[in-house]
Amino acid sequence: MKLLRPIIAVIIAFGIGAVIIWSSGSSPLEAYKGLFSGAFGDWIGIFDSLFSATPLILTGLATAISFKAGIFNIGVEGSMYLGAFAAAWFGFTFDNLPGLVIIIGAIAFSMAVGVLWGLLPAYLRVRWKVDEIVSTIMLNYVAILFTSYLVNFPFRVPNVANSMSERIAPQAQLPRFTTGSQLNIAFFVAVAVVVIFYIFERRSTLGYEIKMVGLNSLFSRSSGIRNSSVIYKAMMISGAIGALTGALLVLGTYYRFYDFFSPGYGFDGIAVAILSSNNFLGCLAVATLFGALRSGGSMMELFTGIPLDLVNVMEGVIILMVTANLLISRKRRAQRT
Amino acid sequence: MSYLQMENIIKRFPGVLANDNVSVDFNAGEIHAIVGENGAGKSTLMKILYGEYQPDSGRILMNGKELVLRSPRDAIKAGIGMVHQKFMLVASMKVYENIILGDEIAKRGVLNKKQSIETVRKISERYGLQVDVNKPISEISVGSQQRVEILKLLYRKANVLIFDEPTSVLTPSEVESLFKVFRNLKKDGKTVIFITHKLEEVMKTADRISVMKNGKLQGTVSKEDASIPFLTKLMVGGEIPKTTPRKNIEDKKPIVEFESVSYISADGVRRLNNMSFQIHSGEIFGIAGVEGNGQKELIEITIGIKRKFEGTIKFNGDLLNKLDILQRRKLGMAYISEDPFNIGTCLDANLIENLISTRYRDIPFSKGLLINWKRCEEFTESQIKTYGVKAASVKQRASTLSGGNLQKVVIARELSSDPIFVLAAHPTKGLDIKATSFVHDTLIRLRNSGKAILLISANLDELLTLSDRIGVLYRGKLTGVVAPPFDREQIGLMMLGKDVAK
Repeated sequence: MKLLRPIIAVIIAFGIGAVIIWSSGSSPLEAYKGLFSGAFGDWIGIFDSLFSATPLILTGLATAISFKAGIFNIGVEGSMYLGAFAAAWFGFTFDNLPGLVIIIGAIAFSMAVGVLWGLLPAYLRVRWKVDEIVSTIMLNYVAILFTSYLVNFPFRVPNVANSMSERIAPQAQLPRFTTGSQLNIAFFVAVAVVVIFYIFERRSTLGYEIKMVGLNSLFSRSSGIRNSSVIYKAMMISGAIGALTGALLVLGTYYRFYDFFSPGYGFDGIAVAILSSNNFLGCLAVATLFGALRSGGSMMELFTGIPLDLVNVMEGVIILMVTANLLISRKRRAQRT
Repeated sequence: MSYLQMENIIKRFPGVLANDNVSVDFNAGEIHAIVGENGAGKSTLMKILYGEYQPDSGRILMNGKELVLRSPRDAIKAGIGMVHQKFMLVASMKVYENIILGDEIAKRGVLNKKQSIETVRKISERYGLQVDVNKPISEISVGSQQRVEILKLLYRKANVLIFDEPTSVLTPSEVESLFKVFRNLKKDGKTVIFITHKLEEVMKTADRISVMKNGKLQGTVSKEDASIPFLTKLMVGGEIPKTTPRKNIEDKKPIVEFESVSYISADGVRRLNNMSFQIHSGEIFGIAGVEGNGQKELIEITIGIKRKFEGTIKFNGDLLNKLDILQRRKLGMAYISEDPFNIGTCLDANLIENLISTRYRDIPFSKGLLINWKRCEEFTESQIKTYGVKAASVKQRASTLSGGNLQKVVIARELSSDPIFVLAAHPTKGLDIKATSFVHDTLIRLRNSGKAILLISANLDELLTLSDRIGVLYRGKLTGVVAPPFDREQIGLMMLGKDVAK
């Protein structure tokens, strides 16, 4: 049942997409053929789909873990920016170290920054009861604009048109699998994080605590679970994974920090988390679907002239359907009691 | 022929037959009680009569003519109204505005305030429903809010008034005046139907009594033919097990010591005022008082939810003031909460997760950072057996359990840590007879085994039967501590702030 809803939502999204394509005078069949062959038609297509899915998997996990604790954290985008810059800085500063050392160092430094960044809204919420939705939205601006300041002033690279940092050391670039696709080790790191999260949730005491605090904080508190400590921990993990997303994008895709590099991966993570009802394996599935739509969508644009924006419309329809479904079932439940 | 008849009502919900071919009739000018255990189908039957539910089969007749009630709107049109357990009032609006809302006296779209107030006042005088019509709902007592609900129905010319457990939220004196209103309504030819599981009330006020069990009507009897044991037998279907007799405890020593504890809430009100008392091992110390006189704060300070207060609390000689809930539990405190649905259990979690919530950190339930779920499952299975929780599997959600079973889950968890002291806050609130007697028995057993128990309850009968001593709380102050033999009247006066302790 749980699986049925998203699947129906996807089917309806394709239906609505077809109507839009048809009404603009193109053939939906041709367009979807382009989409599918782009996403799954050959190895390169599949690689590209997984490549597009990688940041979504991670931002989905980072969001889902805080949602599970009952914290509506919108701040993954911000931690991703800070994490990306931290990794880039490590990568171009210690450029005479061996590649593996730089990679591990950059990731560790980036995640440490993410942990600290995650603590900030948690502290505001626990200590001053500041609504985390508001604080994390505002802190996103702080993070994004702060990294923009860094690359435009203190770390400005002279004689370059765009605002960007220096390149990281070449030996620190994450290896790619083929020349035809940007897919790199980062995807497997993301899958590994999914597996770790999955085991963590089922087996660890903290996983249990996060679940209980998220489901019923009055219950957890009176049982002796320290709610605020659990909130801190969940937000630290969320910040760390958000930062990891940024670090992997720098080390595996861009090789440097670009000003405003993200097309909204952090916010996509919210959609991924909601669609998977905060289920970690579900995050992997939903992110892969979105990745396939996006990478297939650019193929479709290339061959049929139907703009990539159509994919955004379809994603929007899926999100709308699933959240509306959630609302309806919640209302029904309320009526029954 | 009776005024209102329900014939062969059947209502099915997924997995339950809530009403199983129920036929019952109501007369004009009678007070009719519907009694039964939780889940017996009383509320469902009344919601059908009020048009909130539609029966799967069966029909409703008024004066012999069939009534089709598709919604509460239809029911009100037919003169049938209902006062729910949860009141449906707009807190910020005035009393008379609430009463006329949706049925205003207006001229060309302009509200005739004077006439509205006059109409409301007339009705309230006629039935003895005293309320200040110009006060906002948020400023009047729960008893007055209930009167507003009744006025709403009378304003809409209801002839049949249904009450869902109307006394559960009232103080003893408010209960008395509600029953006076019932009698006035009856005198005026109205039909009063009320759901309850308090049989003393039934015997005091009802003309006829219908008993329900497992969705079936066990029978309707007039008061003259009924007695409390007879009704109990019909409701429960068998005798209630007798509670364990209390043992004489020698060598009592103080476990919990309150010394001049005061608590001032964030809005500057002194909720607890200089409270000093001791709870000994092998003792049930009861706290009596009208709800809202500091019970909530006392609970929260005792278990450690609130830690900013004046005075000291000692536990086995250790100072408790700075310790949080976890630390207090580690010292041997347990907490049977006042609300098994929202505090005592986590409804969306399974029974295992509910039973380990206080102990998951300890060996053998977890080793370092990892939980040993197999051990937790075995533990849950044995606890559930010990405490007779009715559940098909330990992996089912707590939300599938009834209130009485949930409270058993709470007790199974709280007693598993072998506590020295148990805080029992309104432990039988909302429970039916069987579940209540289970909780009472458990508390007496605990007492006999030398535990200290703080029992806070709004039910005076419960306190009188269980307590070794009773402290009476009034406006955050202990007006006295009394020992057996308890004088019910004296305690009643002390609850109203009269210092009559001997």
